[in-house]
Amino acid sequence: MNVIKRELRANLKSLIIWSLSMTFLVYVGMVKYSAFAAAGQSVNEIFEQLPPAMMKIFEIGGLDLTKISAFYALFYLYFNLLSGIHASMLGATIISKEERDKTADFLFVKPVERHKIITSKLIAALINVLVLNIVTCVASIYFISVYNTGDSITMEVLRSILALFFVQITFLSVGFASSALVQTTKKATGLSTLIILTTFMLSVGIDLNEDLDFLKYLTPFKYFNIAKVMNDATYPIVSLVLVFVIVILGLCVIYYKYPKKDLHV
Amino acid sequence: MNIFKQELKMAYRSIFSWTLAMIGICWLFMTFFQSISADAELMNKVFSNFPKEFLNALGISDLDMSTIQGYYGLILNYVTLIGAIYAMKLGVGVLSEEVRCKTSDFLVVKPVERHTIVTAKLLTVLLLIVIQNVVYDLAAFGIANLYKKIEFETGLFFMINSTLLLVQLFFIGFGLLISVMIKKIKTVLPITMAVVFGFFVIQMLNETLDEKKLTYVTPFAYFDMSTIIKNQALDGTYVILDLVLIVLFVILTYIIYKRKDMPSV
Repeated sequence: MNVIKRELRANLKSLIIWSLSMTFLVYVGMVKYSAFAAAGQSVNEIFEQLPPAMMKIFEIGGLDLTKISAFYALFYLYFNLLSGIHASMLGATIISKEERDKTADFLFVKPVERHKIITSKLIAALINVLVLNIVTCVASIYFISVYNTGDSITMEVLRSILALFFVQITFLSVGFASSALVQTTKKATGLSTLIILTTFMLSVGIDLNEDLDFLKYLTPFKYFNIAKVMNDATYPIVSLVLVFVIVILGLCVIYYKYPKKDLHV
Repeated sequence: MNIFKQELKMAYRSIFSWTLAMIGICWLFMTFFQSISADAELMNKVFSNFPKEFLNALGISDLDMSTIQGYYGLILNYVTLIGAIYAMKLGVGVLSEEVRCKTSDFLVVKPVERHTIVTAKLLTVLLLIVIQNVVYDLAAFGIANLYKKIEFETGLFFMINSTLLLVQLFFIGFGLLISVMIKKIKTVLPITMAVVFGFFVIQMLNETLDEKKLTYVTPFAYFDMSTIIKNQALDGTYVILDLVLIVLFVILTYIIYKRKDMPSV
């Protein structure tokens, strides 16, 4: 319990900065909606005349462009990206920083089992990720309602925020696993960075070349198609299973490796 | 001189892997050019009928994807992202690692002025980035020639690539400034990823929002590929802005570093 409180306090400044940045981003995204709405009606008319093959090229096919949900969906990708970075950096540092800051010999000689300390840190990390998620959610709903001209899309936003949460915990586990597998914080963040960059570039590559579509299971950024999530609440079973598997694997790696680890003090 | 040599010796392995990553991404995305250019000619015809706001909304730039320089402009966005992360990592790391590795009190008490230390490290970082750009430019030129369909203008190609250097210089300066403003940076990568991706996401948002004010905020937006290709020249305002900011950051770094309290062992 003390460990959780201490970790939350230590990460508070960073969490506040991240939350403010996300809120600002949502604001910047939504504030121009009126210009987009004006164009949206004429766009729908043009779309109706296009052959279906053309529709496939526009990956947001299925979204009603006159609704603010289409606009929000465009930006959702970037919230996804930033939350993923936050989660994986947090996961990579929260446990390995004890060794970095040379507080490991203090913490681990306390009469608390190692796995309990790890659990507390994991819970603190999860709380941080949840706070960022909720801040994004609230900011999205608020700014959408301020700038919305049509019907409320709160349900759709909530569905996309849930998908965001799945991506966040995936990257959080990847961060944890990185920190357990390598010795120093520097290498752990390096490994997490490598994974984030690779998965991001892969998602860009898949967007550019549909033949690579089969690779989409390698990159968490492609697990949830935002249009389908928002409109039909489609969370593909495969993606959910993958998220589950990655999270469980990450936890296994860290609970297996860390209690036995030789700490460099 | 010694500091310069020492820094270079320590850095050569990282420059190798990051430059390779940039070249790799360039090559990977170039291999998609065949299929993309075929679709692109068709799409260009369709898009010429669409209102501009719609194209902005979908983030479809006015780059001509059927030509190799148009497509390359798109790829360069992502290569610049990787380059910017590396530049920022160098900028943030080069001064703060003395404090991190507890060698600052050794270095600073030497009979060398603090500004000499900064100069030596700055020169190291600049040399590394210049070498990276030269190597990358040559490799990219080779790759572009390998996949081209029609001849492209060499001068324009290298001018487009100079934007990579300009953006990287920005991040070196910004990274240096951040490293002296924060008392002790314990891990470099979380802050570099957050800052670089933050700027990148703002630029991505701006592709849709098309807001002039935002283009001044993020260095990724200083050099719009389509305008450069159309005008065969870089936009002077942005080049001056970039250079002025870089000089400002470096001067501030010198000033702050001179008075900085180093947290010692």
